[in-house]
Amino acid sequence: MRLGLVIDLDTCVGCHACAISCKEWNTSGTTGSLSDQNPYEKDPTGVFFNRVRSYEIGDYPHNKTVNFPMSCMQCEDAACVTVCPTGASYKRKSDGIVLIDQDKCMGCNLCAWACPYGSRELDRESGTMKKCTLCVDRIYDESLPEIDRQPSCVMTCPSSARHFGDFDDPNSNVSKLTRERNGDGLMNELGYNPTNQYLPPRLANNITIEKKKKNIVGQVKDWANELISR
Amino acid sequence: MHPAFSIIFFTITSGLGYGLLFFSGLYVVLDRTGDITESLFSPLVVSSIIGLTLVALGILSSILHLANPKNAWRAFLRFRSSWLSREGVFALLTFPVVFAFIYTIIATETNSVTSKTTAIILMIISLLTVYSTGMIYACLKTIRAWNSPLVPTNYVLLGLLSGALTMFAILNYYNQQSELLLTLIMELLCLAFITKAIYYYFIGKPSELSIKTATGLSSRKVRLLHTGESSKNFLMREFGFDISVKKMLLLRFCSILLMVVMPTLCLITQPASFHFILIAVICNFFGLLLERWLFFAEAKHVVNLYYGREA
Repeated sequence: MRLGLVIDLDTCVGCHACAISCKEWNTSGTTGSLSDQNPYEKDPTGVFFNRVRSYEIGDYPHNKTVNFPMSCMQCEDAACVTVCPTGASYKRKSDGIVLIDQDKCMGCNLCAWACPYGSRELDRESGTMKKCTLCVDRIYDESLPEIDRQPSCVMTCPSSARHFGDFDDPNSNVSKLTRERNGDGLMNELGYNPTNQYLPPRLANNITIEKKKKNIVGQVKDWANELISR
Repeated sequence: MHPAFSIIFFTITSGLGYGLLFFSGLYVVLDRTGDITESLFSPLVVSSIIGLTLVALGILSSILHLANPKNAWRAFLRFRSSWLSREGVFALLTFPVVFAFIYTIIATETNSVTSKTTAIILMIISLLTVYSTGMIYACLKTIRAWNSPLVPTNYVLLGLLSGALTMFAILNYYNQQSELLLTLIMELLCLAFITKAIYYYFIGKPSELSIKTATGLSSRKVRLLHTGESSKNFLMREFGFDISVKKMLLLRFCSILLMVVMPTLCLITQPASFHFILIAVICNFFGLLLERWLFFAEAKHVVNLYYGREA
């Protein structure tokens, strides 16, 4: 199995619900708590497994806002695991999820330096590195109804921009989506083989601005105005 | 990258310590007659002890950098994959080797096979440790300025240079002159300068990565609208360090001046007095501090691309 996410850049509305719901689930999960510093003061900061940034592509009137959620890509060749000196970072053979053993981590930051996606963050309170677990404490929980055995971010996304599944299965929803919509991983040139795939935004139709035809008097007025303005 | 003082101090002191240990070993290896014991006994013991102390100080400083030091002992467990682990193992192995080295020069003749073998092992392990320190940084593909064989080369050369200068000072303190060491120092000064210059040329080349390649939205113009943060997060604190070009050039100039030019000027008139050699050692150390600070400050992590910055 190669579990991962498909993120649809076309439908993401940038509401940050995935980031919040992720924090809510994981702060009481296996790698919790996700500590905050100065949460109600001037410079609030804290650990998040999901970060959403917004970009603008193209120039007006052919521009578009693209909201860009990023979490751990569960790389096939995860450099964060290779550089870890303690063996706290590991990749599970059974489903490809990259995890950190909180009892072994010494907080040297090297894995965060090795990650190009910024998906590892140091928890100042515990002194250990933390990252997306793909809700490993949820997707296998048989006490939950089957439809709920998905990562928290996927469950909560109001625009269904996030999909969870097995990339090794060519008929899974994620494999199909990636195939149909030309999904691709981020920064493939680094050679880490990220599992998570991003579906590019669809090209929007240009909004044409029709010029209303004016009568002869109007045309003369326009011509006169243009002449004066010169 | 955020330049953390604990790491800067660690890389410099351990580099200096291993340089000192390397040259202590070299003296025993090159000694053919065995009469070295008489004249060089105390300087060699002193240099190995100072070297080992500096190495220990470096390790302590690197432990201070850890957010969860109680698990530091686990850092020796991933020797097969992690350069940081390799560095730790070699650093730990240095201690018994140095003790054996000191024992052999006290208890046996320096031209005996035992002492020469120990000296060679000491030299090899010194080089290996400094090389591993460099590789911790050079193996990171995410930081273009570090992902180069120039990085471990610089680490080894600068460690040897600072070690050789300190060794020269110790020998001079015991009224020993060494033509060989002086020649080596001059050569190392040249080599260190040249590789550093090549390194600065290498990192000055424009990057092929951009916000377009990072986001994969390559067909059109891409710009950051909003980071989604109301204040600095971990990634911005750790990777978002920035210095102005003017400040960077000034610091590069100062570091080369202190690290290479000042020691050369101090040692060019021979025989140099102890005070001049001491000035050379101190200048070199502060030059190294600047050089290492710049090594971190100038390095740009690819995560910066997602924040609309350069990498």
